Amino acid sequence: MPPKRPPSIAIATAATKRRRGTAIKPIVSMAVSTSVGTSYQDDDGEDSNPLRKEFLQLLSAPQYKGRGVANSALKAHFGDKYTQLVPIINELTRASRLTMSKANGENEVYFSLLSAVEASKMQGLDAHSKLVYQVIESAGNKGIWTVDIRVQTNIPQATLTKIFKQLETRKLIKPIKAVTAKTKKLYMLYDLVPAKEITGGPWYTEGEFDHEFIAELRNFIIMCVRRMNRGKGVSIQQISDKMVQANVSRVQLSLEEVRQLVQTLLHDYVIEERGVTDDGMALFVPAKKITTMCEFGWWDVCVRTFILGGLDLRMMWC
Amino acid sequence: MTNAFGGFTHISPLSNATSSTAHPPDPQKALSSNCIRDYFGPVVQTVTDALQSRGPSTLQDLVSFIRNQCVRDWNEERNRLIEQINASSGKGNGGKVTMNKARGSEASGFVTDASHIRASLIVLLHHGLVHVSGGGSKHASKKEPVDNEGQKPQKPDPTASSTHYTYSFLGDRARLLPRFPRYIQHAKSMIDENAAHLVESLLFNGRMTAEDAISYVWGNLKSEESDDKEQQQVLVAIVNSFRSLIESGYIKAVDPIASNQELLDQQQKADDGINGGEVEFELNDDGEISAGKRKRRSRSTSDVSKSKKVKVNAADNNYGNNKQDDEQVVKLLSPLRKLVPAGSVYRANTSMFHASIRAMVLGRLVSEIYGEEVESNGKSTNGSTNGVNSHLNLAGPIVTAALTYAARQEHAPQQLSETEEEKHIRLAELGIFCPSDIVPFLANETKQSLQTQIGGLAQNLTNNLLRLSKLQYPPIISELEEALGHSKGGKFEINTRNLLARLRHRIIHRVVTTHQGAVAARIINILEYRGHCESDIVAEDAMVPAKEAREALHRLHRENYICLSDMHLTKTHNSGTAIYLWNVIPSRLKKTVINNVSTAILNLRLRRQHEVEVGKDWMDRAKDATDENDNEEDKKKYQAFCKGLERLDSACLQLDETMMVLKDL
Repeated sequence: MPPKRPPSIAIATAATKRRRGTAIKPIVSMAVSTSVGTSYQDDDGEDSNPLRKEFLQLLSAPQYKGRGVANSALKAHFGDKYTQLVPIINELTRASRLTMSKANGENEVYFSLLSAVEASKMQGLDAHSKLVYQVIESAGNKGIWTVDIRVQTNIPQATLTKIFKQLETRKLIKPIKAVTAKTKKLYMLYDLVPAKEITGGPWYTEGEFDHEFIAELRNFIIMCVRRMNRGKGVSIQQISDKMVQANVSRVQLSLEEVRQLVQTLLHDYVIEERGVTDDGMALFVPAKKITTMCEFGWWDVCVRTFILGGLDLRMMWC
Repeated sequence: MTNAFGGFTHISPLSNATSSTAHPPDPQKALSSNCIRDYFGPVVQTVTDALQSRGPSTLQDLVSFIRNQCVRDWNEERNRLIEQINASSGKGNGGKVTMNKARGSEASGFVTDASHIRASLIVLLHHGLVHVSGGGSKHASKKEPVDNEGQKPQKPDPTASSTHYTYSFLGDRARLLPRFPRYIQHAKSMIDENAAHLVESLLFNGRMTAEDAISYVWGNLKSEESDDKEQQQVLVAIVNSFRSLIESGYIKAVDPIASNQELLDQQQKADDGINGGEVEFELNDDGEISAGKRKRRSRSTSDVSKSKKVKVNAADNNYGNNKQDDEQVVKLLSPLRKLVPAGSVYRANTSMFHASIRAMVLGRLVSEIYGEEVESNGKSTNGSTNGVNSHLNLAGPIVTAALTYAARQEHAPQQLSETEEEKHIRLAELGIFCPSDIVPFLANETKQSLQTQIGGLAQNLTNNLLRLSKLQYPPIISELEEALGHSKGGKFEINTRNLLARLRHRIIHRVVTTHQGAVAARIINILEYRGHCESDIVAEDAMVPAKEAREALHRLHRENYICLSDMHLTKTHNSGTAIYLWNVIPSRLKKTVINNVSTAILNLRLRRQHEVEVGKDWMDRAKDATDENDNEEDKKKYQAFCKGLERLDSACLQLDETMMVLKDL
């Protein structure tokens, strides 16, 4: 039976998908003054304020999903009514329905709407916790070390530990161990799938290099090369298709990953390239055994001859 | 660390300057030194080590250097005592008492007598292990000096203080000494057994005249039971083998080294200088060097110089011992005088042996790469090979024939009527052949196979060459001139360099795999393929954990297989921000592998020499070959001892073949 690979973590829904690639500078919630006393209804109840409704509709618009609405876009959209948004923004922020962020290198503030579920998770968090959350969110799927969080937020370690515990309990963040540094803790958002550089890709299982899995895959490829097409040669695509067909791995291996395996066999002189297909893809055949003169191993001389006076012939290679 | 060989001497007093005990060690020099000791003795090893450490030296420099290392401190009082003893004992009471001025015994390589050093140098010259240069005056030009009156040019006077001959040791030739059995076996397979005996005699003696070599072999081969007719047949066969060896290029004529007697005769006759550069200075009985007076060395009263004289003139004395044999030999050689001039001196041509062995090795390589495809693809129901792929089966023999032809072109003596232009063309087209050129060098089975097919030998050979030139994995033959319409069937060339590089690469891969592991060998291949890489990239390509890859990289770097370079992003060194790149320099990698193989060969040889010394009693008893030794236990130990020696020899030969492919082919 092929080794069982752990099921891939469910990808978060589109509405809550985090932005990637954009380094977002965390902003503590702005203190916005309200000049007009206005009463609001929450989302579940009927919304009597058309401005609020319009604001929420705008934030929910598909083109603003992900990054959010820029402040300048709000101004352009609402025109004179822009100043009336202030109490609405404050109210939503207090209810943890709204987040504000700034992209690196930009002065523009972006407003994003959170779902009710997320809002409930964020409710009750203090400013420090939200700051930590934003810092972790900005790291994306590559995660961020605890040291870096402390440096960026300037929060003492003891407080930070409590915040981490609180956020983990609310399932907002999760700790990850990188394969390159197993002793260090890495944090990322709960719903994100860690990047390949962190997990090591399909070659790692629970942070450990899966030698057996790779050995099985290599053996399978060797068998394919020997038996398919009567040993006349197989391409990487054919090998990949055969792997899918034989269900060797529960994790879907990309063509690049199969090529990586084939390359290691090439470097070990187990298989060799012999021709190309009509499409220009390389064909691989089992490598021929070549007489390389020095066929004996020093251990043959050591073990099978004699040891005189306790002298070990392994010194031949010293 | 205690000396594992306890009491076993294998180095000379000067070995610490050159060999494996030096820092940094040079395994190839150490191996050359050990080979010299094994074949010629400790004194010659001392001279060799002196040449290796000093570099090109004159004899005077050499003697003073060796004396500095080997002479012990002695005081004048002791010297006066000895003089008194000699004076009081008188001339009639036996030989003089001399003081041993060496720090150790001659068996350990301690030598102070200049005549011993000179004799060692002559031995090395005789075996072609030392190169001589110079011979002119220090201040004169290289051309023959013309005296002041403008008369005929005079050869330099070697006894003059301004005449210098410089001797350089050829370490690579010394390393070939253990390979002699390989050459003998190759001569046997390429020509016949008589040729093997001839090659053996030439290798053993360094160089011999044609008559000496043939007489020597004939003396060994003829038996007392055979009659004159059979002996004559043997002699004829030997002469034919000798001719074949010359025509094939396996032995070549060299300039003879003049003996002392010849030199002195020449001096007495013409007084026009010395040939051969053997007499550079004169030695007195104490071995002190002085220039100026010419001494008749052949009349020296010194026992030592007499014994060395015998050794040097051994070839001359052996020649003519049996006048009748020599006459027969001379009579058989007389029709061949154009090829074998009278008195010509021959030695084994190791370059030709290497070229010929290379032809066989690459032919085998090609057979191994392509030959099996016939069995897997072309086997029909009746078991015969498919004609479509039969050219793959012949790839190996064709490559061997083509490379053998190229070797003959390069090394065999050419026609005397060859003009300068023809010679230039021949050298320019070395390695290029037409199908008809290689037919004489094809194996009989190959010829038969080609002849039986439709089209005949020539046509089928051309077709096969064309098909083989289309192979690309790897390419073996290049078509230089199109065969279609060509009067000679086209011109082709074997991709020797490519094939040799491929074989060497596989050997290096195997050696690294054996020594460092499969992952390390894979990493080296990755670095060769990618160039400069960081360790993370290497780990990813090798599909090993990053930590394991880093450990392997540092291990390979420590062993000198790969290089590390760092790029700093700041002016000051900061390991946190620096980028460390690993890469492979192919020449360095090859040199490291060669050094490791040299070390392995040296250690095996030392082990064998030690075992022979320890088991000397067994060997002496075995020589007697009596039934006295009925002790079963003793017999078993002796058999185990012999088996062990055999395995050591086998291991040495295999390693030497590896070295041959890496360095000499």
